[in-house]
Amino acid sequence: MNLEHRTQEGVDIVKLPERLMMADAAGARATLKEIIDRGSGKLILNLSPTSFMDSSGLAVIVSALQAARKREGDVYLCGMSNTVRALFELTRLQTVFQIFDDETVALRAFT
Amino acid sequence: MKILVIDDAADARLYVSLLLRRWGYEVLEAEDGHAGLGLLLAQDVRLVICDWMMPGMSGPELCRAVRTTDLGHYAYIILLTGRSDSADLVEGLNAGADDFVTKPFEAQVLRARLRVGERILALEQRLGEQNRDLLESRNQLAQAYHQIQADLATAARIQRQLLPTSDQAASPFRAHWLFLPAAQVSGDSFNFFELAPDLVGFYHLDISGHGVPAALLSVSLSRSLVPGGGPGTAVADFFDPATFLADLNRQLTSRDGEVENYATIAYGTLEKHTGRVRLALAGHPYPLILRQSGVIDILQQSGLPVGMFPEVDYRAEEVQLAPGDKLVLYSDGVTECRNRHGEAFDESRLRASLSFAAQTGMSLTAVLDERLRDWRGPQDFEDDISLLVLERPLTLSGLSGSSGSSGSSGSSGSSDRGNRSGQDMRAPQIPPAAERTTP
Repeated sequence: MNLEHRTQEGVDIVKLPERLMMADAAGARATLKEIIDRGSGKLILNLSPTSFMDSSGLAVIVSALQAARKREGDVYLCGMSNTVRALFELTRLQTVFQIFDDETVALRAFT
Repeated sequence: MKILVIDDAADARLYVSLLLRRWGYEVLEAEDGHAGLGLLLAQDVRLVICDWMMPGMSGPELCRAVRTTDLGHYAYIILLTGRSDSADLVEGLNAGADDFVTKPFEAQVLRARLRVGERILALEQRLGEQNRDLLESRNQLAQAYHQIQADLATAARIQRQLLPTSDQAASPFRAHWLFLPAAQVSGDSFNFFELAPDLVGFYHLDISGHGVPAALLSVSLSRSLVPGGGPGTAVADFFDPATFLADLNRQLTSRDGEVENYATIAYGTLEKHTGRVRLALAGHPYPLILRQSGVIDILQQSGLPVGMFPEVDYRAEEVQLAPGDKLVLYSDGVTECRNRHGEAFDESRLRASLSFAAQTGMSLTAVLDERLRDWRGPQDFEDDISLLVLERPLTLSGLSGSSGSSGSSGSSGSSDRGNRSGQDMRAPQIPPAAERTTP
């Protein structure tokens, strides 16, 4: 899956798609894994375009976190819509991820 | 390559045959169209050289006959003719000829034309083979697809068979439930079972994802989530909800950190004579308690879903059910059920339904069944919808032992297992542990 990706100050910044559902999960999972394996393990996922996410999408983001932490890195999230935030809160995943308003703040937290 | 030469003139036939043999072809001869057609039907001949003018059946007539006959392969036909004007050519092509050689002809011209024919026949054969391969692949795919669909349906059936059939195990408490399965197999499941004479264990879970992996996980979880249902499921493990979920999480988390399927779950125990509930949550929607007074409480002590991270701590919350109180466990299929405008049912409507049931004395599951169906409209549900209600009776008359009839009225007529549940109410209740002990 093609995801908008750039690297800034050693941190990979990826924009997630509008829909992160069952059908797109496998593609997004593979792309993120590749980015983490090639990069520093520090990853910012920008969820501002994402308006639909289901449990498969959530699994992809958690897998990315596990992969990043294996490389002593981390995954920071930003730009969450209210519905996506509700999904994270319902599953308590907001306790596992650092969540920021936007990329700039997330990047500052990393560097 | 075998070539059929059809010509009524013996000398001309002989000449062409001689040339063909010299070029290495195998030759069959026929002195008229009917005999030629007979040979074509009887033998595997793909290349035909045929004279135009013949008594009985002419060259073009033979072409027409060949094109309307199923030989099982293509026959490439070259007409030999003294005619050369375009009207004749059109007539021959329309009749089904592939090429013409004008008499008198040079041997090399005939040879070149034959090579064209061979190339086209080779192409035709390759196409035919590819077509057969494609057709076969398509059939195999269709078969595999049907097999998967059938397997998924079986998984769904097994999964649903593992749902409770009566609420006797919870007696004197009453259990009601609502189960509206989505079109696809998904992973809602719930059950309750006796852990000790005064203690009931219960769970409500929702497996993430869809398809085969989710169905497999759901069935295996439904089987192992009851005492004696699988290895490592001794009754003692079920007493402490927080430890229970931590153990379950450890079992479900893959070592390599890939998260494909996970589950959200509410697991608790219920002390029958005191109404004391201990409940632990793993990423599951917060259960509600509808008090006898109509007040709605919410239980929010939750940990992460099971199957994501290897070591997770869970904490159990303790709460008291007074006579008439109802504990309501549900999946996010309820709150996220969308109407045709994409609007979610939400916790607010769930709470309103609870209040409505309390005020009118109607069955909670019946109220929600109707409201959710109305909300969704004619479309199938996108996700499983399920709801389990544990209710402490106002009086403890049920303790005397006639509680079998209290029951799961909520599910009758409200799910696809409604009828079955009606029948099963009469069947002797098999303790879940025994039902699920598999060798």
